[in-house]
Amino acid sequence: MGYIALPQNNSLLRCLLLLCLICFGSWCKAASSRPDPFGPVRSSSQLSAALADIKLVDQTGATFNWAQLRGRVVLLNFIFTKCATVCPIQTHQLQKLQQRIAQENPAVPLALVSVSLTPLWDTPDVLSKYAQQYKIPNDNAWRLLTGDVAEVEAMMVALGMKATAGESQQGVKGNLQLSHLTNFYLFDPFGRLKKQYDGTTVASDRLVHDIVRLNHVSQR
Amino acid sequence: MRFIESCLKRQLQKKSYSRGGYYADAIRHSRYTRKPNSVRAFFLSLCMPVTLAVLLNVPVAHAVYESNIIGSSGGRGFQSDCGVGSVLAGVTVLTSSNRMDAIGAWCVNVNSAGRWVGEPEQLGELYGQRFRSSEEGVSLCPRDHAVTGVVGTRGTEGYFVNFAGSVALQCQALTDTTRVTGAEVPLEQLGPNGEGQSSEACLSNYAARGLFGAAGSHVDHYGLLCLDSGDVSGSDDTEDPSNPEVPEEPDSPVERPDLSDELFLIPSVGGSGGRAFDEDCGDDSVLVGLELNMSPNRLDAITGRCVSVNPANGEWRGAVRQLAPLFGGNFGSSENIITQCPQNYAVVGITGGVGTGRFSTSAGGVQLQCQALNSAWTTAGPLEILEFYGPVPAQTVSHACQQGFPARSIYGGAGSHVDYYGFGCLAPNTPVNFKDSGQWSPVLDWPVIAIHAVLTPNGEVLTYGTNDDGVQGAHFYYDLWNPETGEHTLLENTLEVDSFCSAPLIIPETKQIIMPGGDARFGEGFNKGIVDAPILDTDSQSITPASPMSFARWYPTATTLPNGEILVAGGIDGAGNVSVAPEIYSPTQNAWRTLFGAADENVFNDRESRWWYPRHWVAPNGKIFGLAGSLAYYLDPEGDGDIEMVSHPGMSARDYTSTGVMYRPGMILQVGGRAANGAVVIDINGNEPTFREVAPPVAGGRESWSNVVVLPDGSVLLTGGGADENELDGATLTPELWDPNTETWTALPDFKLARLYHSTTLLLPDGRVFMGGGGAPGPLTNTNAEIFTPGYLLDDRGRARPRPEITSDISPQRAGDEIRIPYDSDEPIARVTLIRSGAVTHSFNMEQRFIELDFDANREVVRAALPRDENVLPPGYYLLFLIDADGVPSVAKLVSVEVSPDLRVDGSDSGQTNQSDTQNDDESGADSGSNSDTDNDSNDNTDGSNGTDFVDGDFNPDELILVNSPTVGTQGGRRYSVDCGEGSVLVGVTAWTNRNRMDSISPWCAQVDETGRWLDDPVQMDAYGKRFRSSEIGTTICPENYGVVGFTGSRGTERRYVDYAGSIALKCRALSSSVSAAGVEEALTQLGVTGVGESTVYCADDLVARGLFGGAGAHVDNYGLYCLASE
Repeated sequence: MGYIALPQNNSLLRCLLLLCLICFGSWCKAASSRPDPFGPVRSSSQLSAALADIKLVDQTGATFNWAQLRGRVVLLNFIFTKCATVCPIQTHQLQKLQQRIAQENPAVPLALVSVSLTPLWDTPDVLSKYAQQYKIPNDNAWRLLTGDVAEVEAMMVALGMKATAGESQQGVKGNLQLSHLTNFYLFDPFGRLKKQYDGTTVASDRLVHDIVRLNHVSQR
Repeated sequence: MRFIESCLKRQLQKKSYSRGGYYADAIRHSRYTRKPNSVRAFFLSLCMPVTLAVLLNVPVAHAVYESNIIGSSGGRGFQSDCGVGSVLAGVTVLTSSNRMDAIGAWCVNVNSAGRWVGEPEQLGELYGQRFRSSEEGVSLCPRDHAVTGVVGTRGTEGYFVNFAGSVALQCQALTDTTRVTGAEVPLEQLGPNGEGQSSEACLSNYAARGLFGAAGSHVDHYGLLCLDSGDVSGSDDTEDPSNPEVPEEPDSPVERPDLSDELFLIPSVGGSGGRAFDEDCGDDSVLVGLELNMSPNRLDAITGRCVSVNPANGEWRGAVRQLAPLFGGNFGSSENIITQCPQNYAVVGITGGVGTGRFSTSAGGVQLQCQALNSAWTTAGPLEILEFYGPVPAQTVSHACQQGFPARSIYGGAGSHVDYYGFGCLAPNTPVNFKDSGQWSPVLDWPVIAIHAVLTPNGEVLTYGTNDDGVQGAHFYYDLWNPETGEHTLLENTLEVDSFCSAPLIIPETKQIIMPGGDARFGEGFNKGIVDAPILDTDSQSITPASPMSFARWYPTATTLPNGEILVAGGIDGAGNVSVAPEIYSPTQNAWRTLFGAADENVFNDRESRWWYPRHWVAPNGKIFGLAGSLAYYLDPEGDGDIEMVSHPGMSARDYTSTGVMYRPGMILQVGGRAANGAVVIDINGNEPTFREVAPPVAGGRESWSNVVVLPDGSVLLTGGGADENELDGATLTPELWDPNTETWTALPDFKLARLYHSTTLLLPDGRVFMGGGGAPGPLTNTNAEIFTPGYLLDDRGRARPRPEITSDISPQRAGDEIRIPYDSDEPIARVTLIRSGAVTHSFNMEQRFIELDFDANREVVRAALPRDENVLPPGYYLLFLIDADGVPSVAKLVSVEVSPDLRVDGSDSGQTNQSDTQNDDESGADSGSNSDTDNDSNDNTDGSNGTDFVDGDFNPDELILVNSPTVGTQGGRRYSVDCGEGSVLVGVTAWTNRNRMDSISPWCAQVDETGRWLDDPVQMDAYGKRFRSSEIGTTICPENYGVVGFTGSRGTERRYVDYAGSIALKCRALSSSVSAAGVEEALTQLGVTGVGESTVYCADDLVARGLFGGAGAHVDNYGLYCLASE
């Protein structure tokens, strides 16, 4: 899990956390209110369709929808710019991954997508600064996404992403925390989810291999 | 008279209730004051004295009734009735900190003036189990008082809230043998004060005469057996006068069945010889026990114990009597033993064996099986297994009367010792040819609902799916059942991974059982797919995690490939997305690879629930033949994988509720399913699979959740299922046998309980068939099983037929090998067959397949040729049967078929496709050289790595990142991580530890300046894990201006906790900057107990730790350091 450190007396940020909690609560409700043990089961195409309806904006302020990624293998994760632990490590890891693919398999069309878990805080401007901090060029190869809370929530629910505010982390700058799953999601060039990883332990060799193989089988 | 008959029937119901089990379920929650059951209570109070008076010709006695219970349902029922003239004077309880483990009654005789006669004594055994944590307490009323009420609670702490917790008795002074008066005297509470306190009292002015309840590993519930007025007028001051009850129409009495004139002799136990004896208890009597002279190595003498029985209701009449003088001898070593069924039960079977040492041809140990009588001629309900007396032989045998009939005589032969003995049982007059029909056992109690059943490489049956209450959850038990001895071994699920609806099967190369997928982890709700794949080692009986899968999977199918790898496909993840990409587990590398080319959305789809345990078999062409909904396909596991669709003509057997088996190489029988009660034969031997309708099952009701088992002779046994998804209405109790030669069905005698959703059937090495489970959810909670003895093991009267014997174990084999099989048989060997060991759930056995072997035989040895094709004979464990000319199979030997060397996938040449998904990123600076699979796997670095530096190379202070150190502990729990933040370092920990594990951990951080000086006092961060009352808290913090640079730690102790973290001892050095340290190492005091796998870990290159991470649930599963490191 990653943690975000937020000033306790900032009402806006409290609101953000509340929204995140609502988001998580909606996810719980969706799961617990299922009429049978399985609830709605989605095929890969149905999941793609659900994701295709989601509209967000990237770090440049440009509108994002999944159709823009068509033809590219996509690796997606969830971050937030104030996250001090797992997110920077994952961002660093994706940066290296992007470089390796470009050097070793330049013909493989790879798109990276990082979706903010705190969309009200992570405005396009904030994401743009985050991109600059990590030297992420604005070339559409790596989209840092934010937008309406409802849209982010829809993506979280579709992918089973869980995030929740943690307990007060007294002593470290008097801040609050936000915990979330650290998954990477791998999609084929048609926007179909093909694999998930624990983003804290997956090896870059594994990611490179899978991206190359997935691109290969998607061409046949 | 009809009124009396009705009374008798009601008493019968009450007796069944008190014994628990399925038969009791319908009336389990009887409450004296609630309307439906107050009818019964009313009737009991009304009719019992009359019944007894009329039928037993004894004075009217007070009846007892059961109070409301304290606790929840589950467990095996028990009843401790002090008997007429006695009252309940107290209890003994064993309690742990969060539940009640066992309970027993104290009784005392009382005279007509209400004075105690003698001192109270504990009545019989305690019900439940004693744990190391159990504390024993006794609570007794004051002299001349009796228990009249109880205040109690359920347990505490989540899992235990459904067990009983505490008990506090209330007593009143006795005025005669049944009644009390005066103020209540409350006794001290025993046990933890948990959830749902309730107070239960007997009728005003009446005492309690005993306890009842249910218990398994713990006490599920308990209540009081209270005396009532015995007033036949029906007046009852607890009844609601505004709600008068109308007595139900009296029922008919139990009629005498049409019985055979001859007693049915069960096979004898022991050897042969001696003077023959044969004694009969006589009409209207039954055998209820044995008197024995038992020496440590043989049975010296034996006789029966009989009792007369009320013909109408099965209750004992009068005293138990010795049937005849002891047959046999009496020696100085002899111990006189009486083993006897509970009141109103009769002997229905025996488990025993020969003596030990030089007495191997005489009779030895004895264990009786009893069942409740419901008339003088019939029995019903769960078996009551009595204690085993005498020497335990290498192999025990069990013989039983025909189902539903008691024993009435004992026969045998004896001289100085007992050579052999057996029983004569009542039997129906309708001749049954057991050779044709086979025979079902009575219903056996089972510790869990057998949702999953796996035959282990050791020949035991692994079942799991629920706890001992039949409830799903991560705190379930694994049960290992030994079919030879009948013993159960319960293993706790130490990983707290809920493998409910997983896909277990045997890993051929390790003898272990992998259980990929399932429901959830503890504390994370229910019904969410998981990536976990626990591994059960059946030799060490330990459970460890394999590397996690890439896709979370709930309802997946696992298949052993010809190269020994495991294919897992299907299921859904926690968000309800179909797990579309199959993946393959490499046991040699503990790693998974994904088959992107086989990620076919049409096959692994929500339509027709195709994702739900797709039916997969290794086909003769080496691909996987699959059936999902109305689709058929080949899945090619090579390379990236591929799916090739096959035309499916739309037959009368399909869908996820069907069942199927490869009954010959490349020949599949599929039965039932949502489409119809049909049967289809699918031939996948040719280029194109062919589908052919065959005769449907004759008994019907196979649309949902039947099971098929291929038997040693190649016939297929079909059991269970129903017309509707999971409804009793339409459930089929009739098994059928399918003849593969004629492709026709023959109905067999019914079994007892409906076996619907979550039921399983499994072939045992001795040729019998285990059938268990059903429920969670379902109309029945089948924590029970039934065993079928097929007709090939019986003669026409139901006696065991002589069997061929394989006289030595068979060494591991490979495809194409010739097996040498020493044997002993009166008849020539006619067939040699192989059946792959079973692993079944949700009506699909993912392992079983049948292969007939070519062979030659002389009088001592059979030489049989294994198929050369691994696609026909995938590696794994197989039951090898010899079948004689009479069609009788031997007890099978389990044969390991190993992976052929030319197919083996090992680490040296596996290339990219087999790398571990959990390997750490090599950009972290880790050495991912020769041992790349485990070098940086945080779960695999716990042993033998003392002093390991996990990061190597120069560090650049301007480009520091946080990396995970190796961890101590094993995978599990919810992940946690604490980063002290920029400008801070880790300086200490607080740990809550127990004598065998670490329960919780919390790091301490300090802000530092550029020179490494602390700017303020250290601050404790959040704790992860749980703190128990027994936890000891300890805190260790580096000296001022020091930071943590490493630790020495270990896992826990005592098998159950070895997979958790156990200890931590930090290592500190003086800070030389905000990120680095220098100088002499300062080792801090160890917190916790040193367990297994102690290792030492350091951050690299003089850099310090900035936080802590790991996994924790009820305890700390693992921990490691967030170390600063150069990029």
